[in-house]
Amino acid sequence: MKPYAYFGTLFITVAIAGLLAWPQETQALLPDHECGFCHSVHGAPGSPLLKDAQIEALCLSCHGPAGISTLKANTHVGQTCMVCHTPHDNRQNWLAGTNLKLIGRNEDGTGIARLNTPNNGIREVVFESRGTNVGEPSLHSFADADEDGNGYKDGVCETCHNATKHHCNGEITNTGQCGQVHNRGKTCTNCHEHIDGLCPSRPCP
Amino acid sequence: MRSLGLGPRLVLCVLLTVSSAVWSGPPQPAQLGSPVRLTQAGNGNLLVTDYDAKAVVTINPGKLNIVKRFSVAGRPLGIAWSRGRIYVGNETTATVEVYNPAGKWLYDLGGGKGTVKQPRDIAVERADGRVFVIDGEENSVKVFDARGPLLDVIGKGQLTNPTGIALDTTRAQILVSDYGDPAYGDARITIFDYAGNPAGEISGADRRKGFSRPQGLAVADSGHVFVVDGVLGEVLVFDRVSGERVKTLGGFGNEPGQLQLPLDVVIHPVSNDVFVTNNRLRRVEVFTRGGLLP
Repeated sequence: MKPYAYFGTLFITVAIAGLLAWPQETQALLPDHECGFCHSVHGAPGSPLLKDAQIEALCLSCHGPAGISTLKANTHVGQTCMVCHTPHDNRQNWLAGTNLKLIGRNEDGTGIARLNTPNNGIREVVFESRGTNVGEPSLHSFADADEDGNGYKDGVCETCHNATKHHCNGEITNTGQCGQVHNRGKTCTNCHEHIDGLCPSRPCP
Repeated sequence: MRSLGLGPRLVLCVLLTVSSAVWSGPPQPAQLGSPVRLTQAGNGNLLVTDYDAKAVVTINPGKLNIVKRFSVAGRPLGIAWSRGRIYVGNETTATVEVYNPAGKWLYDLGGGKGTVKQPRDIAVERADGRVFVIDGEENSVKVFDARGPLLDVIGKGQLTNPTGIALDTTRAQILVSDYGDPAYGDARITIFDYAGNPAGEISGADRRKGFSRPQGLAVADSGHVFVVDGVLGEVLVFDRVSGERVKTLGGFGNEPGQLQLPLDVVIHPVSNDVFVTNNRLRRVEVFTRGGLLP
């Protein structure tokens, strides 16, 4: 057997084994993404499968400055893209809905969207469309503040934040710290744009 | 005078070769916000667009320190210099703005806002002042007279996702780096003559010379093409005739001489030093005499 045939057979075998072992990892992608954006079987620069082990550079090669996507982004303070996003699919969340924007990762093998937060361990994350408000064409659950009454503040911002002035996961204090009234129900990224690393201005305070 | 034997000479030769391919060490490069494109001004200084700081930064190429900066009302992408004019592609306003060396806005090419959407890169033919701009939304190259009017549109229908541009003034050719369709891995460098006719291609699909995210590029006097790949973290050097990769600078990583999301490259015409915007590490990297070929 010639070397290329051998390696081709080996690759296909490993790929099929991977699909069987981790089916939840190979679900369909967003309509705008295709496998070949990041993976290449033949002639891939970098590693045999991924075009580069450094996923952040891969994301930002399209979503960063001079990249070809119109959805521009920068990483949140000290974090990488993969802290919040999985590149493979919009995950089902623990409320049986489906998260948006590839938010949530399969952190515990259940396939349910969770985040491995810097301070709070692995937590639920829900990032769904909550309809529209005036001036808010696509209102998402950035900060949930338990508006859905499920007992958790599991919005995409609150899931990690436990020491911020607004919309955090801690208790409301007498001084108003951790209050949930700050632009309640608004789209956080209107002011905290992803292109600015989700900060109100760069650099983050 | 006693000369070195063959062995020591070989070792010395290897050491010199290796040392010339890495970051030059001190001085420490200035920290930028998000360096994107760079060009060389008439006085030899480097002009860098800083996407996060919304500014054009002037850097001394010897000391790598910031000499001065001026603000841009938006996020700057492409930049070029010619005849005392600085051309800046403003992503926010979809405009190519023209400034004087002091950073004073003079006028917009093409008459104003919205002329070039996603002005990702700019090159100037210094002989006649024509300005070539990548329009990343219309996937074309727009050619302007230096005074402003649009003269021509090149590459429409032939370019898929163009990012960077360079001119080969010796051969009167335009080189455009193109992601292609990422799903099909057909990244390439497309070459046009000045009239916009196809004049060649360097494909990124080949296993040995492959690239997938080509960004800024430069043409050496020898005709060799230097192109950065944002994902590989490398500067790839190609022979124009054979299309083969003849040299590689950098490599992915955090260390001096390594790159993370490099976005543009400039070759100093006298020293042959190669300067690269090292975006994620927020600095400009220099490869001393990196423009020399083996």
